[in-house]
Amino acid sequence: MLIVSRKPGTALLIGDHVRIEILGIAGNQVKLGIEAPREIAVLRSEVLDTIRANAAAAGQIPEQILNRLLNNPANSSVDH
Amino acid sequence: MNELTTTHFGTIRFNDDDVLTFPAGVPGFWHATRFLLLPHPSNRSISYLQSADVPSLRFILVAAFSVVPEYELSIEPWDIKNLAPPEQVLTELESWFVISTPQPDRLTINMLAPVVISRKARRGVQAVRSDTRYSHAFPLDDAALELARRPVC
Repeated sequence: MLIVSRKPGTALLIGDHVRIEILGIAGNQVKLGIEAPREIAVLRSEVLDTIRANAAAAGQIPEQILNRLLNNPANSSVDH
Repeated sequence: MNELTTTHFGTIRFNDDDVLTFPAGVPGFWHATRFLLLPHPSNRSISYLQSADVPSLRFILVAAFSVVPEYELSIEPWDIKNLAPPEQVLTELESWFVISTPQPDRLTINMLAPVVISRKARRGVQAVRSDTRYSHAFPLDDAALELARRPVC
């Protein structure tokens, strides 16, 4: 991993088309400005995790495990 | 009245008013912006989030409070903007976790990115958190399942 120290107002270039500018630092947050061509997806890493989790969630969920989840013994044994 | 023949629930009918708009789509399915929240017939902690446009796209949701009563919701400003028109106060938000099976015998919930719904605004977002407080693949163990199965009175 390339580790670079930068000051606010400076920038990094990745390839010919991606530019990341350090806009400012406040407390424990760094504000970045990212310029990239439209076809390059810029995602926060936690969004990527959710994309993967969603892909798994939208797929087939095995019948057996679904039943375990949905079976409701508490409801079936209680009269309201 | 609209009609959609879904992969998992057969043909369903719904009014335009039943549709929840997800203005920003759902991560990984950005094109899907219109959803229906279908309650499970016997378990009130479970709902299905069915795409109103893509017959095969559905998520299984569990009510956040039913499995993690102490869950603290945090919504980023851009998601708040998508949840309610400007000037409208956000009230009565519902939080749900998407259930997933990363392995055939394992259930997990995405606590990093709860599905947050405002029925009043008829809008929803999958609100990906910017902090690292909760996991995107938290094991849904038997204790949590037991909580979810409790009848809601």
